[in-house]
Amino acid sequence: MTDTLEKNTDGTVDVATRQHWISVLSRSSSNELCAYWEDLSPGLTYSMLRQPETGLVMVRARAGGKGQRFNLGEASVTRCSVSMETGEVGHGYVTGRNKRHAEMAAAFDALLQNENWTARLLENVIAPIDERLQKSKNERQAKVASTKVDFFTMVRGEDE
Amino acid sequence: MSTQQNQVAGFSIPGFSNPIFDSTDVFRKVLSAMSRPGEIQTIKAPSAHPESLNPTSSAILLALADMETEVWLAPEMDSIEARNYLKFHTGCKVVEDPKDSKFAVVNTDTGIDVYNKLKVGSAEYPDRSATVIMMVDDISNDHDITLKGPGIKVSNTLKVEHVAQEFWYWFEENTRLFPCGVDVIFASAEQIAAVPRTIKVEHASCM
Repeated sequence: MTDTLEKNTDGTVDVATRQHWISVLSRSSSNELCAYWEDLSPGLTYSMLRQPETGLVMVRARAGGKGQRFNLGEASVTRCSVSMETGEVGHGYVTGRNKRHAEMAAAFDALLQNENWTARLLENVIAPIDERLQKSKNERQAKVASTKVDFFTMVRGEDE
Repeated sequence: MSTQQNQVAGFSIPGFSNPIFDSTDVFRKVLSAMSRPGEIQTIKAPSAHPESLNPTSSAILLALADMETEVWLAPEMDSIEARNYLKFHTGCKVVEDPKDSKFAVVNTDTGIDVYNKLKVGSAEYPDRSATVIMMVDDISNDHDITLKGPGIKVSNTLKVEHVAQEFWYWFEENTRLFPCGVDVIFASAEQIAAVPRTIKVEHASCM
């Protein structure tokens, strides 16, 4: 994992890498994040920059992925920002109203930015969660795929 | 270490520890100060604030500014840290020209030309005016100026340290624009007092 970790010239973590872990953290479950946090060395403290707060965001979509943009509906989102004692600032955005989840996501985001932790956490926390999410996504897709119906127009033979 | 590089000034200053109750409390204090001009209110300031803003003016902005609020910071108050702090916690726009602002954060050294640029509202919408938040060293009820007008039974006395005489001349002009005009909040480190546009100011020295 360490070898593939891309870094910017100033030593900060590559944007795409951070986007990936933030995405995984926001799709994870609150319980698994709490469990992973407790497994880390104790004494890791962070202070709240922005207390967890719940709001609404408008989810927009395109019909068929390429049509006109329309408002699909509102989703509740909880966000939180924390800072570690070493100065890293982490942000957590999760769907739903689980404040603990947002807080944990923010704490992991902050810790992941610390270069002493990045590789270790990517391997031991982010990768397993990502794998689990991928697996359940595949399972679900396979389940859905089995119910697929192909619609087609019957050829009535009138044109010939 | 990348930690220092990751840290962008102002983004790591915490806001209110309890955003709902703290901002409600500050709102109430500003409302009381405005409705009882010259009465001094004590504000429980947030645990940290940008260096260029004092605790009470930070608290007022945290409570009142949002993404539809334009804030102008006088050069002495303006810093990357203060801008990031306001952007992060309130989402407000920090504007470059005082004439575009809904809140203007100034100090006692700020010149009268700034006040003359501020929005005073229109006859139809006198509420579309700016509010000045003036950072001051100290506010007391000593007898320096006498305030009279709505919200004051007979008269109130107020002393704001280091406020230039020109400021009060400007304020007197400002009250003549009623219902238009600018409202002023004086903010010391822990206390606030307000003089809205409805108030008649008399100087002890002139009497």
